[in-house]
Order: sequence, then structure tokens, then C-alpha cells
Amino acid sequence: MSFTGARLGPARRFSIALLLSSSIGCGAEPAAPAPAVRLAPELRGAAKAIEEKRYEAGRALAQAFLAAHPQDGQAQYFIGLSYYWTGNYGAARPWLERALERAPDLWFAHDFLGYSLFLLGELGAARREYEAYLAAAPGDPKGHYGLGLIDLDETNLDAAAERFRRAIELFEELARKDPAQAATRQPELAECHARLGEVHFARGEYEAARAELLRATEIAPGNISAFYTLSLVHRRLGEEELADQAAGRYESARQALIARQRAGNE
Amino acid sequence: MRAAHSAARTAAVLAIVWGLQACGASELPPKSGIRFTDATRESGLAFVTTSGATPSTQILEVKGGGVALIDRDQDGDLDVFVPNGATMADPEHGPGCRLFDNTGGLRFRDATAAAGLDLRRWGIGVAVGDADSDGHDDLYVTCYGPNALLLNEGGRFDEVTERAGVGGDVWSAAAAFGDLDLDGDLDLYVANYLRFDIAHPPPISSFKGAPVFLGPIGLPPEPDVLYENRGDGTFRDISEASGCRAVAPAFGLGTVILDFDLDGKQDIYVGNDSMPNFLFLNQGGLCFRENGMRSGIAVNVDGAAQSTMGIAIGDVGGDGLPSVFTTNFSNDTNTLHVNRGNGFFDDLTRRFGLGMVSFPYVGWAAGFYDLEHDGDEDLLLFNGHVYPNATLERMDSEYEEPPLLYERDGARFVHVARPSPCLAEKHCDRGAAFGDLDLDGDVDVVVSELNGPLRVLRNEANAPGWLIVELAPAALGSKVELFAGGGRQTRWIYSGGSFVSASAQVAHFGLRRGTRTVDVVVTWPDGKRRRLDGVAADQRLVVRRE
Repeated sequence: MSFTGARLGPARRFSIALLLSSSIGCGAEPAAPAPAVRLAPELRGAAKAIEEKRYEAGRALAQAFLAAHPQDGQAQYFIGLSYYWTGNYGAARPWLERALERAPDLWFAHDFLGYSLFLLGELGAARREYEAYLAAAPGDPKGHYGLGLIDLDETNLDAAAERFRRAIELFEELARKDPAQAATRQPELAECHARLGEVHFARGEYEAARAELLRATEIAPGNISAFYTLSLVHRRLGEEELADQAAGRYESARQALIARQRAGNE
Repeated sequence: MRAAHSAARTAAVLAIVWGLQACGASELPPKSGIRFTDATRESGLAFVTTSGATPSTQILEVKGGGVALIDRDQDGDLDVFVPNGATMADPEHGPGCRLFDNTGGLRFRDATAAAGLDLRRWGIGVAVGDADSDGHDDLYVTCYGPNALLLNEGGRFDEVTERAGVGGDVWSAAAAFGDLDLDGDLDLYVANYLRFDIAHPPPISSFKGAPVFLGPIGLPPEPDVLYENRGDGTFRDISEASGCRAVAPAFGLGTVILDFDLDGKQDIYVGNDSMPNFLFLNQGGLCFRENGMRSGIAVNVDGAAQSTMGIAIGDVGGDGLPSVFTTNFSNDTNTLHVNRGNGFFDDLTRRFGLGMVSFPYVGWAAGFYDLEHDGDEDLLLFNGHVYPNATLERMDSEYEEPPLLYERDGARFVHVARPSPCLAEKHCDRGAAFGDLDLDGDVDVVVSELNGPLRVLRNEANAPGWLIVELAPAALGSKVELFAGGGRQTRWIYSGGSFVSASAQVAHFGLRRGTRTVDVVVTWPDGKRRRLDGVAADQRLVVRRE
């Protein structure tokens, strides 16, 4: 199995909080404020269950509400989320699409749908969703990150680098304006540095790659991918001892992941 | 669907709709010059493979089997060998392997009995090589249980497994021959999979919340085996002494023997399921050092160990270096590790256009071949899930999946979204062997579907501009370079790869339009070279070692 899931996916709490509160909640202030969304009171139970990782229970509650309100976009969103968080992106997709059709104000659903489409290999459609997300929340780093991932896959390395840099800038702005939220989103920031490092590595810019990857591993010592790429970069630079250290950290993290996978029986 | 949006939609959403409509016109899939037709019916190659029950209930049943192309009767064309499996109810007495003689014109006739073949064990993979150096290609069949070495005695096969000492008694998947000590005979590497007890099958597991069979994670991997050919008809297990057992056992599913680090010695690449792949670098004296992680070929760009099934070797960089493409499980991409020539490999899957397109597919057999004779190698691979309950909604993948065809276009591979109908059909494919079956100069394919009929896919290139180089005697590990118009193409003649299959052991080249003559350089594994200048195109060129 790939570590793709370790990439910056939309944060679970963020996805719920946007509906539980009426605030925008995306950290840095968007240049053009996205509309606030209020959660239908009947769906609070579904939202809470999903936040607590009780996905089937959350899905059942949302489906019950949907049975009584077949046009409700929020219920469709929660059903989509329940699939998304269990890694069933093909199942999440139609629910998220319908949620956006019926409740276009659920702008943050573009992120989940975009990432689902990305993982389903539909890069053009994923790009459109991330562009829609960015249009609704231009101050949130996720839109740029998602588009950067797509640019990276399509080998638009300059565009990818620009996206990841912009996402990092937005995280820095967030740190100034809302340190508490920025602290909870450190793994996402690390992921942006890791991907920017990957762009540099792909270009053969090993010193620049090393700087970004070191930053990523400082911020998030659990970023397996960053440690792996860092070990390769050190080796290309002839830094054998540092390469071995990074490879050791990578291997430890990989073994821990395997142990978790085995415990989960997946 | 999106066109039904009400007028009350926000401007942002309307922008998406417009975007979709605008992009729709510009995203028409490109047309391809690569054309295949399904020639199974007229070929007479009517055979349904066996690999357990349908639907599969245990991991033992889902790996299917391979196909080998071998000129067993030395009449100049490729015959087809199928190891074939068995069932869990009677794993030692399956319907048996099959050999089909090529009778010309892409027609085949069952010659199993005539070839003296009666192998009924649970066969999985097959390797082809002249194990006894008598000038006839032999077969090594990997099995669930003891493997089989079948020596070709001029068209008839004799099983000599016990005498040769290459049986084993585990679940083996893939095997490859290669002259690892450059003593003139072929040694043998066997990639073993895992320990599976039919009498006590493992409990049910889950994948994405759906019930599935357990494995490979959760089952004990089997260590691989390296055999040295003593040259007297027997082999010696040198797994420990060679250093190949210095690594922890892994779920081996594929292997290729080739000189990957360009030091003049044949190395061993092993594709493992759900674990890092191995690259055993040949240190000389039949000693090996595992260098996969250090060289960057063991895992993908994210540092993730993948579920490697198929392997294809190609000179994707055009610099004469063998790069490695692997097919993997769904929810993951296939991977292209490009050989940098300095001991390092880079995962350049994305740069070559082979990334997220493959994410929903479970990939198996694969091969780089110039399928339309335009002077560069394309990529064809075959797919099919392992979980019978796979659906897009449940697992982001369907059980039956179409092949993936990529056409080389400059520096990238372009996914051919509208291929020939027979390459758009969904199957549950596993093994495939590539070779010119009808002697028309282009590369055809025989595909083995899990518990399904073999398929013969005829390449309809029907175009001049090709050259097939055959070495006599066959010399696994050789490099063949073709020079024309200021450009160079490189092929390797090797054992292993695809998925548990054996493709034709020749070098096939497509040529740019108008090319009449080319220069050819053959480099044998021991470094001996032979150059042939002014070779005419559109022929099968037999190069003898002088």
C-alpha cells in the first residue's frame, strides 16, 4: 500500500467544524470571504459521530435524515465524508458531487471531492474542484497544495513549486494571525515543505531539496516520505552519514506504520 | 447532471460548470497508431486457465499464472506454454500444463502430449532458458509446492527436477535464469511468495471495510532461493552463501536478472508484494549485496513499499541504461524507476506521465515494446483486481479492468484512452508474454486471465520499419544496441519480467520512417562485442557469437 494517505488530506476536524460553527474556520482570512455555512440541527449527531471516527454510525444518521429530506446537500456531504475517511474515494465521490449540486454553499466539499478525484486518477476533474475551492477560500493553503499535487503529477514542476510556496506563505500568515490553529496544522505545513523538496529533488536541486526536507522533518517528525527523500538527497550530496541517519528514521517510521497496519488488519 | 443546476447557484459553482463544458471539448482522448485485434478464436488457442475456484476465496487462488513463448521444436516460430494451476480441493492434480505448437499464420495446435508434458501440479510462473546448455530452451515452472525443471530434449520435455535439485517445496511465484558467475551456464533465481496452508486457510480480513481474504500482510513470507548451475546437470542452493539470505524474507512475485549497475556482472532485481523490492548487486564470486534502498529502487518516491507484481525493463531515458517499471496494487500508482547510471535510480513515474492514471488499477504483466514501429518503445500492461467483491464504490476499483496502453510521445508516455476494442475490454488478467507470433515483424501478445480463456492479441502494425535481433546461441543478459539516423536504441535479452511469464528472448526494434539500414552492436554478458554495420531493416537478424 502506498503512503499516499499520508499526504495532506483535508483535516477531519476542520471538515466538521465548518458546519458545527457558523464561522468560516479556514484559518487565514480569505481574500474574498467564503460564505458561512450553518449545520442543520438534525445532522449534529451525524457530524459528531464522524468526528469521533464512528463512520458507519454517522453515515446511518445522515442516511436517516436524507430519507426524510431527499434533497438535503448537508446529509449527502456527511455520507460522502463517512466514505472519504474510510478511504473509499470511489464511494465518496458521487455523494460529494451531489452534495455540491444541492448545497453549493458547502464550498469546503470541493477539497474532499478534489482529493477523491485525484486519487481516482481523474486529474482534470480534480483540478477543477481545487480551483473551485481556491475561488471560495483563497486564503486557505489547501487549495494551492491540491493544485500543486496535480501539477507535480503532470510534471509542471515550476507551477507545482509555486503552489507549494504559496501554501507555505499562507501557513506563515496563519501562524501570525491564529497561532493556535496553525499549531494544529503543522503536519500540513510539513507536507508542503516535503512536496516542495520533492520538486527540487526532481530538478536535481539537491541543496534546495535538502533545506525543504529538513524543514519538513523538523516540523513533523512522523513524515515518512520526507525522511525517505531526505536520505536520497543526502546520498546524492555525498553526505553518507546523514543519509544513513535519515534512512534510519525512515525505516523506523515505516516499521511503525506496518505495525499499525497489521494491528488494523488491513 | 451539472447542467441541471438551478439559476440560484452561486457564481463560483457556475464557473465550475463552464469550466467542465470548456474542458470537455479539449479533453478528447488522442488517437493512437497502435492497433491490436483479438485473434483468439481463429488462432485455435482455446484454453481456459485454472487457478482455484471462481470466485476466489483465498490468496492462493488469485495470482493466476503466466505464459511462456518458446521455440520448443526449433522451427523458427514461437510456441506457447501455459503452466496452469489447480484447485484447493486437489492442488496436486490439476488439469495440467499445456503446450501449443505454432503452426504458422497465427494458428496453434495443442502439442502437450506430443511434447511429453504431463505436469499437473499447481503451476504459476515459468522461466525459459537453456539450463543444460544443449542448444534447446528449457522450462522452469514455479508452483505451489515443488517446482519443475523440464529439459527440452529436441522437442520433448523430461522432468529432471529431483536430479537437478531445484524443486523446493514452498509457494514459488517467479523465476529467472542468468549466468551470474559468467561460467557459461545459466544459474537460477526463484522468487518465493508466502506460506499458505491449504488445510488451515487463514481467517477473513478486510479491505476498505469490505470482507476479503487475508494476505499477504499477516502471513509469513518465504525466503527466495538462488541456485548455482554446476554445469553437470545439477544445481547447488547458494542462497545463504551468496548473501541473498542476508535480507529478511519477503513476498516475492517477480524477478529479472540483468546488469543494472553496468559493472559487467549480472544482478538480480526482485519485486516484492507489500514490501521493499530487492536489488542484489553482483560482487563477483557468486556473492551479492542487497542495495535496493540505497540505490532508490526499493520503494516509490514517497518511500512507500509497493505491491510489486509485474516488471518491465526499458531504456526510457534513451541513454542505454536499463530502467525498471513495476505494476502495483490499486490505490497506488505503477512506478518507473529510471536508471541514472551512477548507481542510483529515481522514481520518475510522474515525469514520464505514468502516475495517477494507474491509481485505480491492480497491475500485473507489462512490457516495453515499439508497438507501432515509430522508433520508440510504448508500454502495455494488463490489469485485474484480486478481490471478487471489488467495485468502484467499495474499493475504488472494479474486479475486471481493461489493460493500460501508453504510447511514447517524446519525453513522456501518453495514456491511450481510446485503444483498439480488444484493449478496452475488461478482464481479470495476470500473465502475458510478448513476441512476434505470426512472423510479420511486430510484437503480439498472449494474455492469461485468471480462470479465464487465454487471449491472443495480434498487433496490426503491418508496417515496415522493424528489426528483430536473435542471438545464437541465446545469451541471456546480452545487450543489443541499434544505431540509425544519429540515434540509439537499446534492448536487453533477459529472463524474468512481465508477470510470472517468459516473453520472446530477442531484441525487437521499431525504426523511424524511411530507415533502410542500421548498425547493430551486440554485447554479450562477458563483455564480448560484435558490430554489424549496414544491416537491412525489416528482417530477423540472427547474430552468432564469433
